[in-house]
Amino acid sequence: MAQQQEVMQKVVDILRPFVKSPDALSAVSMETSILKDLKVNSARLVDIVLEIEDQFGIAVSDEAADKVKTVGDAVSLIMKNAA
Amino acid sequence: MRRVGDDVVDLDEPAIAASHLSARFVARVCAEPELEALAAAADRKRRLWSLFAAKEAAYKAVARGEPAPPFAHRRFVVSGDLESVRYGEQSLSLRVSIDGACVHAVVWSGALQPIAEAGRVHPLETPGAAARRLLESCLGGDGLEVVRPARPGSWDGFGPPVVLRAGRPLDITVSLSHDGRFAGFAASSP
Repeated sequence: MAQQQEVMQKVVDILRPFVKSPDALSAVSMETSILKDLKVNSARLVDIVLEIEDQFGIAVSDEAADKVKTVGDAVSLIMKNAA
Repeated sequence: MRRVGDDVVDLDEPAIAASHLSARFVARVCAEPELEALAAAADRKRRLWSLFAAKEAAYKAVARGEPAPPFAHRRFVVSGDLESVRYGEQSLSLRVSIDGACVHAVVWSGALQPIAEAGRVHPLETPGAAARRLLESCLGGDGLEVVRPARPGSWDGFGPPVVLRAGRPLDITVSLSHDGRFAGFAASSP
């Protein structure tokens, strides 16, 4: 659980520069939708996937990237790939 | 089913200022046949975001079917003349308009070109409201309402927009989009 929280915090840090309203991150949870709640558009989502690859040293396939809708999806993807 | 999709990109958005210089971003977005033309383009930024908008518009057109396919930009292959987009066995027509910093891509199936327009988001107006205003103005205004029915499993829980007149759906296929200072729409001809 501690590792999950650590990964989640890193994901939030990755998202921060791409979120136009910092307030949107104040109540972030695993259920927060990256596109809808954080209003991140699909161009930024490409940058976010590249940043996740860099920071966690993993490769994210197109299929896996397409399934990332929420913060929790990103955390699960990272934990599965890092395992 | 008539397939229509559109997408708007604001070329002056600071967040995309350097994306065309990132080899990894380009490789993630572009298909192999697009890379050579992009490398040779006089204005690589305009070319990359024209391709990007075309792919987003094409996905919206394709995703009207059930279930929506997974989205990977590089699986949508834009022709060198920017007049068509291929996705698997499907080929869709494409029109890319660039007005200053506003890139507007429109994709459709069939022979009839959709009506489409892009413009600035007014102050005190949400980008979504701007896209609806442009559409309603073009379709002739009064009594029109644009709604998005629930669609579980989609990125925001809602499906493509539907235009109602006096509460009844019109027989047109509509796409709305916005980015930065701009909004746009495309609609199949009534």
